[in-house]
Amino acid sequence: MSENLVKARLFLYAILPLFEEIAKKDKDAKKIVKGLKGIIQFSAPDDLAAQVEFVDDGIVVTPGKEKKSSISLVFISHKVVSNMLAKKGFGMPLPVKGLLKLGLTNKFEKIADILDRYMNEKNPKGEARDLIATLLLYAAVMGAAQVGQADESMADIAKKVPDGIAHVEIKDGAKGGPSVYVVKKGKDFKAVKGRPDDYNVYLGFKNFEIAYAMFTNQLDMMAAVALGDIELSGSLAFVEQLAILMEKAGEYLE
Amino acid sequence: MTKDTDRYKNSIKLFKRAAKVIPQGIYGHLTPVIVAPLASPYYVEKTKGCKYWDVDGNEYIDYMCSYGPMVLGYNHPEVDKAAEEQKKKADICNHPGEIMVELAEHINKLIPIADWVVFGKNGADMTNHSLMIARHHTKRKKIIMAKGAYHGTAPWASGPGHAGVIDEDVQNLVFVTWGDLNEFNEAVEKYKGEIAGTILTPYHHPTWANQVMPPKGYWQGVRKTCDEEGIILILDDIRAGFRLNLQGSHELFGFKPDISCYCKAIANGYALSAMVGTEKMRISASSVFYTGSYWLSAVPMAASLATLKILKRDNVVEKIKKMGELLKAGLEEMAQAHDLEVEVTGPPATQFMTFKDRGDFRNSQLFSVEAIKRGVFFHPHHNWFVSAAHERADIEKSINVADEAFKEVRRVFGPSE
Repeated sequence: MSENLVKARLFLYAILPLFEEIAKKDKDAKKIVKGLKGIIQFSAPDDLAAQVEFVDDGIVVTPGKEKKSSISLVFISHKVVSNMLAKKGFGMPLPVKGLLKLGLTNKFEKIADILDRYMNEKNPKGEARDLIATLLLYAAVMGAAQVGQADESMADIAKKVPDGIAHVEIKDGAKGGPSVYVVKKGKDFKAVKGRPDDYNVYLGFKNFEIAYAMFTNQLDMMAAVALGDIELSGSLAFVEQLAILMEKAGEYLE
Repeated sequence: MTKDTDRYKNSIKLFKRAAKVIPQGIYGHLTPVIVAPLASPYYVEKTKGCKYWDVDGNEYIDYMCSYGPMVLGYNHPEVDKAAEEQKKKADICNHPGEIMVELAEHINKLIPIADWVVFGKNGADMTNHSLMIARHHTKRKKIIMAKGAYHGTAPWASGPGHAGVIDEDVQNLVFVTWGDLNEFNEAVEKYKGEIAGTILTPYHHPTWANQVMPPKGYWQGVRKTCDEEGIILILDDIRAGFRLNLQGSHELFGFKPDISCYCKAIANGYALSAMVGTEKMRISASSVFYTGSYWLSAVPMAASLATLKILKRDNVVEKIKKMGELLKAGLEEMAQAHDLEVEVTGPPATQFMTFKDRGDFRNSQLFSVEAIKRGVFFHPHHNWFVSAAHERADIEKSINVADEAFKEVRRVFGPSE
């Protein structure tokens, strides 16, 4: 069923990448990952896969099965992933390899709990708010790409997205804040953390406060664009449809 | 992105107040978001002829004409006089004025397919109304419309995915590619006996895309299919109406709709819309109850009667075409001089310029910002409108400004590939 497939993709390609940010920014998470080495391989049917690598006192998440993993966790169906996201039924999948490395999954689950805490925090302030804004940015944009790629119910919307690159970021002064872009080509959507060399549409939030308000539905977006709190240029056709995909991703992840 | 907050400081100051008390600040099609945020005017101070002045005192030659309604020139003395004379007598009341009958008779004589006419305020009043009439007439539900077309913002017209639109609002719509007769006929075949009507524009003017003129035989083919299958052919002539042909844009393209909707240029900016139809549709039109508080107010009707008479007297359609052709030729020449390739699509009176490469409107947005800064309002995403008030000197000045704007586009984006 399309909805479970979309949720499986959301978990692997929009939620798992958030672990990188938690490991970078949360002090408890930093302690957990310090000195840790190993790779957890997540897999699900239809060649869905992502690796969570504990390395250099942090976490790196990569789609696919690029490196040799320490422990391999297989979701036997998309529904299992979907249930896990909704915290229903059976939790983490059974490992098919690396039984001796279960300590890694324990650490992973601790990071997951920290992520969960941030995503449920109300009225965050300061650094916590900035981190949550970052997490929401990545979840929304990377989630939109997965919805566009796999959600049959959004096929008409996905078709209307022109080919090109949408760059979305939170500006954070001179050093630049979190940044992600979506590449649409033909029927394919791909989201990548970072800055593209060129873009067809740009959406830039003036600061973390604006981004947080936007992603928690507390911002009049059109007024914000007209006031310059959100910078918007390029293909409005792209951004119009991307916003619908982002909203749908948000519904799945609620 | 370019910002010019000094040039538009009063606009922005006023907008900050607005944003506190009005959702979006400025909503709908007048939102500055789809023009150039912080790099274009947000509020008007005054208008005259083909020009307007913003609240910062900046002057513009206007190629939007209020998104179409202004066709003779802002504050046209004869139109305003007719409106004022009517206002001295009555505008809104418990009954319409005699002017309603005069205007209806005039329109029925002017437009050959018109055997009756009804009035409203906005174009969407008429497109909504036309669907109801078609459905009542045929006792069917489905409506064929073109992908990317704009017929207002009612849920059916906004399309799936938009905020506030539910599946049930759009489940009886069938979307086809405008201009593709085969696709139209396939849709009719697929839903044989279920199509109440089709609503189409005389030529295609979609959002965020080039305009498309009808391929040879398209309209004749659509008419034939509608006749054979009992489908009501509704023409949305709201944007083009009274700019291409006073008797209806369909006359230009050689076909006759069953119903045609008008608004924009009908009254030179006074709030009025109209729908005309053939005798075949009269009883169904009379059966559908659809109304609005201000629909039959008299002042806009007086303005409309004056406008329609002036349009004919002054041969405005021909003048607009000529000025539009001058503009188009000038833009193409200037663009070429800067090694930029542009496409100017649609009829000269309602042309739309896009840049051939990129396809993301970033160069159009820069072009517009630079032109607006120099006193010529070209919209980056929407077709333009030429009016009877645009004289040769205005067109020439606009082309010179376009030259400078193209220079900037070339500097930032390089020559067209």
